[in-house]
Amino acid sequence: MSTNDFELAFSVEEIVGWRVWRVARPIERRVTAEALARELLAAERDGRAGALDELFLPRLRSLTEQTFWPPGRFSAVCRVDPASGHEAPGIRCSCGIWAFRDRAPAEATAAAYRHSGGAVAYGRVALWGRVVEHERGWRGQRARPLELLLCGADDEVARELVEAYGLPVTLAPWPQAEPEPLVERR
Amino acid sequence: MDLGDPVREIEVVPAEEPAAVPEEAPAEQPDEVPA
Repeated sequence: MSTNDFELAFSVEEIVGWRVWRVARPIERRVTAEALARELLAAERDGRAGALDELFLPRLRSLTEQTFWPPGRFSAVCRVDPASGHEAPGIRCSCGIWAFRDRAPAEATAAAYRHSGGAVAYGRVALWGRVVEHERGWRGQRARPLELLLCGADDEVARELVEAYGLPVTLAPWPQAEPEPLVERR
Repeated sequence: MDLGDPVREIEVVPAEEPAAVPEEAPAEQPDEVPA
């Protein structure tokens, strides 16, 4: 199937799906001291006060990338195949901002991180711009979180996320992973 | 994480574009669940 075989639809309604984030502090990224120093110097040069403090505040982070979600909207660019120069999400790429159609797979994904040693948030996210619809969800060009359920964290982290992102954050127990289906063995 | 096969492409233009934030961040790779 070529790209042209896909139906193109238009909508003025944001698409709302479910996704999962790690909750981490930017200082926990694996970056060299030199890279960190350059980042802080750039912040100082740009007059961005508080850049040092922000390194130590909890933020939403991709599950697989060291990418932190800024307050407001998050825009994706393709890093899977940057040489191709396509806009995210490419229809035949895996780039873009992922979201599930249903809550259950987001809960199952969050549950899988229960023993990862860090906090996880899951919740509803609005997608817009270019969106590729899949059988069980979407990959979007732009997104913003709408509400968060926070697992493995305390009131202080919840409060800091509310302040940073300006959305409802609820402390929640870790979701139960769906049990593996029983398979009869003969 | 598995979204299944792509079905269609949608151009979503909300009536009110949410406030822009200047930063552009890289796209995500498919998520991997730890063993």
